[in-house]
Amino acid sequence: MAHRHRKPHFTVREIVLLALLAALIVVTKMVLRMPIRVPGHSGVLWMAALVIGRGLVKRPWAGTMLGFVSGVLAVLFVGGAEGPLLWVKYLAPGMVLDLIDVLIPIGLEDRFLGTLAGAIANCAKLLSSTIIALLMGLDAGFLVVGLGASAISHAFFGGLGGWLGSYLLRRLGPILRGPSTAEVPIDTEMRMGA
Amino acid sequence: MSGGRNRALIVLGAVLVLLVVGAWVAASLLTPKDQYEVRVIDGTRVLASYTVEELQALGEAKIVALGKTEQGPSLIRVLEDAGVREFTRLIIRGAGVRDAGSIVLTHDQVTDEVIFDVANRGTVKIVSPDMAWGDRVRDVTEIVVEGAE
Repeated sequence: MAHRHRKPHFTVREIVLLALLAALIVVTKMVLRMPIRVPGHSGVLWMAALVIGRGLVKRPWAGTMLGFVSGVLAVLFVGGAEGPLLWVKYLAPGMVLDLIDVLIPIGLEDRFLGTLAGAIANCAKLLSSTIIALLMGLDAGFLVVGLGASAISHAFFGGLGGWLGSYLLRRLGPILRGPSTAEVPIDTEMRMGA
Repeated sequence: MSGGRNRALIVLGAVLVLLVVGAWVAASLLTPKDQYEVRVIDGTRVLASYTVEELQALGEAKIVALGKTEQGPSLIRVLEDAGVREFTRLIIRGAGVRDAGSIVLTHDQVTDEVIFDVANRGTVKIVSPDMAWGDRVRDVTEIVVEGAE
């Protein structure tokens, strides 16, 4: 059976998946405000969606793209103290997931990798947010008050989100991923194109 | 492969620990050593300034806002202590790190239920049952009094 190699660029299915997950990240941030007054708690759903997106679209820069699109949507629809630089806060976790996938290419379906990746990605969000605030000229003294505790809570909630994402990836991946182009025989594609 | 996977995960775990420890170290090194204060200002004059302990000594009011019990001195009590009898409006200013950084309260909005809640961070935030989550000002540093007699 002849098989096609995967194309180097994103397929329409992958772009749609990333766009939907980017929208999901922003909608969860806007609508699903959990009544937990602990910094970083939004990372549960945020990192879960990122891990799912990066796990489903196994291409270089997929996480960065997901982060960038959700960041642009967040600037337009969410807003925040970071102003137009808000997108950087969304981009950073996606870039971290891309980097982790390059360095440790075992797949985010692995629950331990998913958990650690989610935790680090959520901490990257905190770090980028702090750097943005410093660049905006906010008082560094106030920024760092409680930063240690905040880092722990970000790691915890991010890890929880990463674990949830990798769990859902294992369960839903085969359904959401659909038939891989690598597994579609040429004759099937010819019939579909006819 | 399993050994390589385990090693990679251990390295990743170490990176996570380093990030958290780095944040603790940064927080302990960069946190200002000078004492946090809330100042009551009338134009350019500083009418009074309070540390958190001094604010707590002004008495503690309890309110329920957004489903959570908050407690601390009421804004009215702080103004009385600072010698403010009349005003048309107040501007409560904060560090602006986690919120818009200021809120304007008219005379009518300043009730006994507007209080300064002492946060775990060792700073105060202004809350009231009628104040939306997004309107709260954290790390309050100044109370600017306008129209004072």
